[in-house]
Amino acid sequence: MKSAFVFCTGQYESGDWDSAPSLPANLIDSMARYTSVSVAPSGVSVPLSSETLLEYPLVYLTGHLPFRFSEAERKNVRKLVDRGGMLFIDDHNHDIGGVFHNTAFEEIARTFSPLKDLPNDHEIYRTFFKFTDGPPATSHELNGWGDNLVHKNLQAVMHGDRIAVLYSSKDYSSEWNYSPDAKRFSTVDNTRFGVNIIVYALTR
Amino acid sequence: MLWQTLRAETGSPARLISKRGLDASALSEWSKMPGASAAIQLRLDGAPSGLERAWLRALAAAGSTISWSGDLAPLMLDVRPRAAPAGGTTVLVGAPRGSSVAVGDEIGAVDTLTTKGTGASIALRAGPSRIYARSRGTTASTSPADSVLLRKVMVIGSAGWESKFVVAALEEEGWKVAAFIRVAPGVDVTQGSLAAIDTARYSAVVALDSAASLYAARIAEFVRTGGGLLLAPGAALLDGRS
Repeated sequence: MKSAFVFCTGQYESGDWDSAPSLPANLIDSMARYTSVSVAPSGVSVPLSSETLLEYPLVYLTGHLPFRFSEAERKNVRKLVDRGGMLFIDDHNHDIGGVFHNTAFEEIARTFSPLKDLPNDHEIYRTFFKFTDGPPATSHELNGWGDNLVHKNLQAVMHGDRIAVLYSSKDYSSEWNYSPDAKRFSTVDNTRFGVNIIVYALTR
Repeated sequence: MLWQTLRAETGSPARLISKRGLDASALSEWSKMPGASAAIQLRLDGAPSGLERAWLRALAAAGSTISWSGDLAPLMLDVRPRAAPAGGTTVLVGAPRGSSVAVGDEIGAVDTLTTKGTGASIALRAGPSRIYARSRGTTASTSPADSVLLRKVMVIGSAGWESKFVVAALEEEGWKVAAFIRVAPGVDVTQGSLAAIDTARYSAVVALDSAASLYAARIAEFVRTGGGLLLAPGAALLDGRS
């Protein structure tokens, strides 16, 4: 029996890992709505230091507070990435130079290598839906909240030609943190880029 | 010349020669026996070499009767190039259960195998030009066949951990992989340069699940023309004629 994709939120010891509780259900709904990928109806939350983390091809991390891995977490996420898994880390603060942003950049550099801008013509922007201008802007960016910037690029750590760690300062965690039922009020589903991230993680 | 040397004179009574073992001097002596064919009975404790067998055949053709007895170890040896990007050779030996078989190449001893059932095998990273196997006085030797020509492997499956790992594992072994990964009806994520599924381009197809149904007829034709196919359970249920 082929196992379904399970959306995994990573629990880390240092911060508020559970700050976007509705996001998993929303992206699960989008995957079921647009793709034929078999998706488990519920997501899971898994400690980064747990061996079970290695069962998940994509691990989502977010938060507002200083971000730091314990040694066990660091070792395990390295193992996940070496085995083909991917981390998607999103700053829930929608600002730059904030505590999550600064500490996450440092921790990612310590654990893997420094983040670099991901070109806006990278294949993740056309893996399922097409985003010709790179990462879609969030309403927080367009409303001028946070740092009053529209961040033009995502950042990434590459593992060969594959994204191993995808980092966003765009606050998709706020943008996608709502009940899937509310999508009927939108003309364009703003979670479509989330589908691209998951499909990329499942196919690269 | 050899035939004339060994040819027996007709009408002479055959002499009985009984000998343990075989050596060049005995063969030479029997070849030069004047005037009579012989009934040569050999008691062997090891398989004669190729030269000795040819010599005995010549004696038999000259009129001598050759018979042998002995507890010779039956031994089979086969050597095949490995169908893997890393290359190498698989050595297969056949011998009675529990036999100790020493395997070597032109350089020296490689390993000693103990047969379980009636055979044993060993994978060698190198591709030696000649392989030997020895067991209880019997020696077999052979040369590997020509190397295998390897092409890409095509993986067809739905998006997920399984298809991703299959592709990664094949690539880790050195295979060049092309992949059709089904994401949604009419939407495939492809990897590598894809081409028609035929034996000129692919060595094998790995079908993981129902995503292969779209290509079932082409895969069936690929197999009929000699292509390899590995079916995961989800794909094994597909009708190849559809």
